[in-house]
Amino acid sequence: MSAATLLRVLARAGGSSARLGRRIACAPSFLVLAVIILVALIGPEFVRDPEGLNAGPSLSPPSGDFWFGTDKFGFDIFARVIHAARLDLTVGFSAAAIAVIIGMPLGALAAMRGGKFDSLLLRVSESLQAFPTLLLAMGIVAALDTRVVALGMRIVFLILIIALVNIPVYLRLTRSAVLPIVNSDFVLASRCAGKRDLSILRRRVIPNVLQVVFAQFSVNVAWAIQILAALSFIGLGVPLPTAEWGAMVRDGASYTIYGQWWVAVFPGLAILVTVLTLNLMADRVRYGK
Amino acid sequence: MSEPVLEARDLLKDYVTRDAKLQRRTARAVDGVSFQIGEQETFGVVGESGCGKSTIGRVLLKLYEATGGEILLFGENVAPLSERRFRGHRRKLQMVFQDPQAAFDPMSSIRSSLREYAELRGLRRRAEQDALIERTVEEVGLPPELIDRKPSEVSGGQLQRLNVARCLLVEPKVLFLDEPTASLDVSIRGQIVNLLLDRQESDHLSYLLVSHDLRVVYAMAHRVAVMYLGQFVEVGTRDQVYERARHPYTRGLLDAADLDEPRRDSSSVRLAGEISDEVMALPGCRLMPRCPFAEESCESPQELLQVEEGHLVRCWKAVEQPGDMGLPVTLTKKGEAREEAGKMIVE
Amino acid sequence: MSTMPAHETRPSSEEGDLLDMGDPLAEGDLLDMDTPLAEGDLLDVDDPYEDEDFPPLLRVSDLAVGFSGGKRSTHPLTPLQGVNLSVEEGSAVALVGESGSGKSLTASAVMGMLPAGAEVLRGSVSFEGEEILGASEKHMRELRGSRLAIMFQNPRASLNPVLTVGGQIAEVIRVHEDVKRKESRERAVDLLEQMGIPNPGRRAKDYVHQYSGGMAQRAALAMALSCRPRLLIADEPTTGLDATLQQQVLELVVEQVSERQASLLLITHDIGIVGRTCEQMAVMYAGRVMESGPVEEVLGDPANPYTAELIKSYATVRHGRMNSIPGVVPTLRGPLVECAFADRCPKADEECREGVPALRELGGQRGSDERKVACVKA
Repeated sequence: MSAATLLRVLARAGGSSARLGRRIACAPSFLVLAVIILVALIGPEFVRDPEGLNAGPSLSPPSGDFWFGTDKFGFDIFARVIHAARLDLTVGFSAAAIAVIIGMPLGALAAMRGGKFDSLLLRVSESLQAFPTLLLAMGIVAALDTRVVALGMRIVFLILIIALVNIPVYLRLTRSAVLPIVNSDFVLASRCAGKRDLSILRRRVIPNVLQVVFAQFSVNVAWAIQILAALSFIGLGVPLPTAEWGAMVRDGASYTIYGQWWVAVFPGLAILVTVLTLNLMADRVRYGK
Repeated sequence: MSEPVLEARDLLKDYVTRDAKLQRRTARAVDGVSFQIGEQETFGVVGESGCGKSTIGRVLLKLYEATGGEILLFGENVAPLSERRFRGHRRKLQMVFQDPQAAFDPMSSIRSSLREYAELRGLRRRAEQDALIERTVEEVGLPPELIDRKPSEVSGGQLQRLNVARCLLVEPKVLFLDEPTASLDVSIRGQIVNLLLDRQESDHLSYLLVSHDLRVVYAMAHRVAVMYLGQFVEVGTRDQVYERARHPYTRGLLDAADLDEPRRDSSSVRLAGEISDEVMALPGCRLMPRCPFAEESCESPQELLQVEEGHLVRCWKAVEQPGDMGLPVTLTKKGEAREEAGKMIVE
Repeated sequence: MSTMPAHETRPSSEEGDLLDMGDPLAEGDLLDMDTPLAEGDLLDVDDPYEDEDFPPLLRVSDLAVGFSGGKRSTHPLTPLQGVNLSVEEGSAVALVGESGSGKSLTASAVMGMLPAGAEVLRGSVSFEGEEILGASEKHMRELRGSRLAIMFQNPRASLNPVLTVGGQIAEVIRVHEDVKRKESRERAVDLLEQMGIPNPGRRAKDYVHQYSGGMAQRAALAMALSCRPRLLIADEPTTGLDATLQQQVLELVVEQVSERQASLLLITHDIGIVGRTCEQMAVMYAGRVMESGPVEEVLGDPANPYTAELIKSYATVRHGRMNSIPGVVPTLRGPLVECAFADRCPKADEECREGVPALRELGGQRGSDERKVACVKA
């Protein structure tokens, strides 16, 4: 199934899940997420240059001028947290989106076709999942690290790797959600109407699993952000001086014991709030709470 | 009977499962079943859950692939056809599902589910499809507005009518009715039965009716087969099976169903224990562990034997020593009828 | 409502219940059982109400239950609209109704196990002469484990999947009686044997998932009877079972209950099994009892058109049209203002829409004085 088909499916499901949409839109977690996204989109236009040297004194505590203080280079941490939001959310959403676009149709097909195709996909995803996600991402990055140096390329590279380690999650999730639907009477009814597998997948199966997949999507964006932050924290992610939450936490961690807590705490809080919000939203989608 | 519309010859269906040790196991759900259905005829299959009766219909509709045997639709063997080649036959053969709530996509409107069938009918334009859908829905006695609702917003009885209407959209020749009333209340049951009876007459439909409800089968079927663990154990006309039942299992079912009136009653064959597919590994009669008349000879394989014109029984004893089994027993409980049937057997 | 007789608006306090005993109308409410078994039973039991006018073991009067359903819904669901029912000592009563009639909810209310969101709007439930509707959870728990037992459609609902069947029955026995572990185990095996489970010694050590459907229901019955209840409520005990098994299990339930001189309230949608199991029956529709009385009389000469139609729908028809009741079961929101069956009833007219018909004695030459009907046309 191509991406275009998926978009059509999403659009179709949009109609049938309008009520779900309304329910989500009313959630406080949604409002917080909307604010975070808004900040990531337009926030950077209103703050200082995150990489502007000597914007202020080195390691000054939070003040009226520098709301979140400055780091050792005198960078404005507030500006950096806002700028990093754009990067982290971009990586998070794109990685999760790629994982969904590949993982969901594969999982659905595996469930519908069964047999060897199903077993093969399952074994592959099991072997990928046998490693802790972070460890796997670390391994791949470390192996290919030196070849990708340019910042833009490096970010694309990170997105792809984080997507890759998340594909098995969607594959298995979609497969398990689709299995009962494939054997349900309403799918049999469509088969009695002579509908082909792909048409059934598109019109009957996928709309019925979207809710589960969307919930997972939200969680996965959070995971992706966490993985990126963790990679950066151990020095495998985005290099300095690019603003990225994980890298900033790493940078600031060593100052915390000397009392300069703000360097690590503010980017850490940004990760916490974003991840928590995304998880709350996932609960909302899944349980309608 | 005229030329059969649908015929099954030695139908086999195995399910392959894996046990706790991932060993492959095959379970035979349908074990050599043969029957014919004529035009405007209803062939009823009764049996308990797990006997394989629903599988028969699903195999005939090629929703599940047959393991063996032939399926003749108007004389043509469709069993070996690929799904693509069979698609052209789908219009002739349709299915009414047991649980109407499960038979409609919960996320879509009923109209969307009905449209698929209008498309099978060959209607391409939305307006044509909708006109046909609305007309058909009215024909089954429902307001057409209903179809813009979600299945969960429609009552079970109404949804089951829509289930029937959906099949009628393609002008089928044969309907597989899979427990059409099992999920409905008694007071609603008759509505569906009557609708099906009316449509059979007006549209010359043939029905394969699968049900555990002996009353529904009694009201609808012309001929009846009783199924136990994948095999037919008794086949005959409705009266032969209901009123001159030979097989101990049929008699046990009839006894349990207590057909006369919803009153105090007790008689005839009482089966012990419950259905268990362990006996399928043995060659003999599968009812043996539960049958009050079982003896050593029952351990040899049992064939379907004819006891009278069109009446077959898979029980040697019922044919050779009916007296030992308290045969004949009739439902009418009238002394005369009992004697009459007795003479017939002695002959 | 002017048509309401006294017993429809009876106070639900405990005194009210005692006062009722003298009330002739309430007297009629009892499904009187003069069988010798019931009488002998009463003499044996140390019943504090022995001197009273034989109060029924269980009496449900004017029970109404609704679902609050949040702030937004202006018309909360009201599935029970004033249920009147009584079960005498030692008798077997069937509560028959289609899905949505409120029969299972009635059982839940009696057991003090109403689902979340449900609340009692009015009415009373008295058991052994004691009002239990507002009783504390602790008290109800004690009662449920001892004198009041229930079995469900799904036997696995009442058996713990991670304990052996014999083990959990033995545990129940130990909780209620001061017996040694060994003795309780033996009693559990005995019980399983009485329920017709072959090889009970070995089967007692199995888990419920190793039991087949019929066996599991037998074990659930053993569990329910292990604490020697006075009343067993069987909520669709055979609905999930095959026809040939239904009969076996039903007969077992009836036999075991009557052997213990306990009472049975059998809740079922299947009017066909009533005649074989119970002496008394009550027919429910849309949250009300439409008719009650001895089974023979109700089935033989139904006084309420709903009962009559239901029996007709059930009847065997030789090739041909079956009876059915037109329309659908109403969804109950707020209190009823007319007979709930009026829309589907062949006999309905203006009179039926003037109010909710009370459950009254049928009177006249039709049947005994135990018969009651809620229909203005009867």
